[in-house]
Formats: sequence, structure tokens, C-alpha cells
Amino acid sequence: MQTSTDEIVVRQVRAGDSNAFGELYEKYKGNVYAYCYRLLQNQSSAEDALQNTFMKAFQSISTLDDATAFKYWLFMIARNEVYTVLRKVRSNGQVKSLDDSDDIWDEQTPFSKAVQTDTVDIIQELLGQLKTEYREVLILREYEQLTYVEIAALTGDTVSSVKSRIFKARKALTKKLKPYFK
Amino acid sequence: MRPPISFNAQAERAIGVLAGILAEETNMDHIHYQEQASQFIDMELEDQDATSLFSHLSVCPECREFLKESLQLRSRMAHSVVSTLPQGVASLEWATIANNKSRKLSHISLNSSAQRKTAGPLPAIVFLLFMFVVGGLLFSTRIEIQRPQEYVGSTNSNVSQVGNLSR
Repeated sequence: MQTSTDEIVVRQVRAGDSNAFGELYEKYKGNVYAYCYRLLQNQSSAEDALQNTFMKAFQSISTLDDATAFKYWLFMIARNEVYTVLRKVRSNGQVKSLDDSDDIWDEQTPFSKAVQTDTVDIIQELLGQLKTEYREVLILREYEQLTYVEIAALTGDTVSSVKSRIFKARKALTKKLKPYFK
Repeated sequence: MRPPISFNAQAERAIGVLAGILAEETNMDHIHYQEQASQFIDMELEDQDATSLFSHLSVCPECREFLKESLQLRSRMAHSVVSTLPQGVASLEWATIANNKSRKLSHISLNSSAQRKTAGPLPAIVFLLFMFVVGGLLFSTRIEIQRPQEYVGSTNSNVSQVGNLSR
């Protein structure tokens, strides 16, 4: 995810060309929105998180040590935004708090029994039912193609924990998907 | 005294225990190799582990099935990428966010740092200037008023002094 283009644009922004930040925004807004949306499962919240992420990135771009790691740094900000929203939602009692149990399905999320024929909907529905900590690592791996080490750094977990969570999330999803794709 | 257990019964019990242990170990093996299979499709598996994984896969249909399903899951997830952004996000440009941001920043700055910086010195300077001007005006007026009094006073004293002298 280290791109020389990002490095150049980040340097331009740091040099005072605030319009150059628009390039980074256009390049990553889709990824950041998708990441926020998949974790929050709410369009409006994901849009807010997207805007806050880029606003904060712009405000603090001078603190970015390694300009080549812009994407990784951006996702760290997005993750903080997502978890801020999730904490608020949880404090309102809408989502069950995270725990350390082996049960990885978030039972708080209602499982729609309606028959869904669209693969995209099925995948999104099942992803939405995974607990946040399992959903997050799988999203970062499958959609953002981050390595285990990068995911561990981003989430603050150990690499072995990331390995284990990805495996459990995958195992659980393949099991749930079986009836749909027999 | 316990009745003696027949050899067959003892053997059956032992076989049952061994089968349970074996099944548990096999299950643990499956989990171990399936976790490795998960790492393999993420290209995170060490070479030496890959060798043992493929040895196991060659004899284990259950783990082969997991690998196949995991690859299918990856393929399906790749097709479920959010390809179209919602209108609100797609049409939203950085300039709009930046404008909102600068508005918020100006609001914030008025309430915080900029205000703190200007709140003290600026009104104080204005007040001092005002006091200086007013004070200057008052002082000059007072001088003008006091001069005749001093003159009168001095005249009276002079007169009284003259009167005293004349007496």
C-alpha cells in the first residue's frame, strides 16, 4: 500500500497546497466509505465517519511521519472514527458490548430470515452479523488486502490474534453460507 | 468385593477412551490445519508449514473442503465490493468538506485560541488609548481651570500680604 504517488501528494499538501488533498480524497473516499459502512452497517453514520476521517487527516497531516504510509494512517483515523460511533451506539444500548467469549456471532443484530438471492446482500448480511472484532479483521484482509502485521498494528492486536480471528470469521462465514450456495 | 470385569469389557472401555482421545486429536488437527489453510490463502503461511499442510490436505477431505469453501468465500466477497458509492458520497467533493471545515475552524478559533490571543491585549490597548485621550483632555482642562484660581489665590494672598504690610 506504499505508493510513491501518495508520497508526492502528501508532500504537496504539507507544502501548503490544500487542493492537492482533494486527490487523496478522491482516491480513497470509496475505500474509507466501504470500510466504515461495513463496520457500522449504516449509510448515514458511514458518511459522517468518512467526512470526519478526511477532515482529521487534513488537519493533522503534518504529524504523518512516513508519507508513503498515508493509506495505512488514513485507515487508523477511520477506525478511530468508526469505534467512536460504535461506542456511542453501544452506550445507547443498541449494540451488545464486545466480550472475549468464543461465540463470534453478534446475536444482537437481527438475522433476517427472508430469502435473499443476491450474493452481495447475503455476504453483507452475514458480515453484518459477525461481531465487530471479527468483521473488522476480515474486511481489512479481504477488501483492503492488508497483511496480518498491518492489521495487527492497526487494531492493536497481536499477529496471532489476527490470524485466529480471520480464521474463525472465515470458518463461521463458510458454514453460514453453505445453505445458500449448495 | 467388586465383581471381576471381563477382558472383553475392559478392552471395549479402553478402545472407547482411545477413540475419544483420537477423535479429539483429529479435531484439533483439523482446526490446526484449517487455520493454516486460512493463512495459506492469505499468503501468510511459512514454507515449512505449507509442506505439512499439503501433506495433510492430501489425506483429509474435511480440510480440503474448508480450503475450497474459503476460496469461494474470497471470490464471493470480491464480487460484493461496494462498487457504487451512495449519491451523497459520490457527489461530495473535498472542496465542500474543506469549506465546512474552515467554517468550523473559524468558529472554533473564535471560541478558543484566536479569541484567547485577541481577547486580552486588544481591548486593553483600546481601553488604555481611551484613558490616555480622556485623561489628557481632563488634565489639560484642569490646568486651564486651575490657573485662574491660582492666579486669584496668589492675588488675594498678595493683597492680604500688602494689607498686612500696610497695617
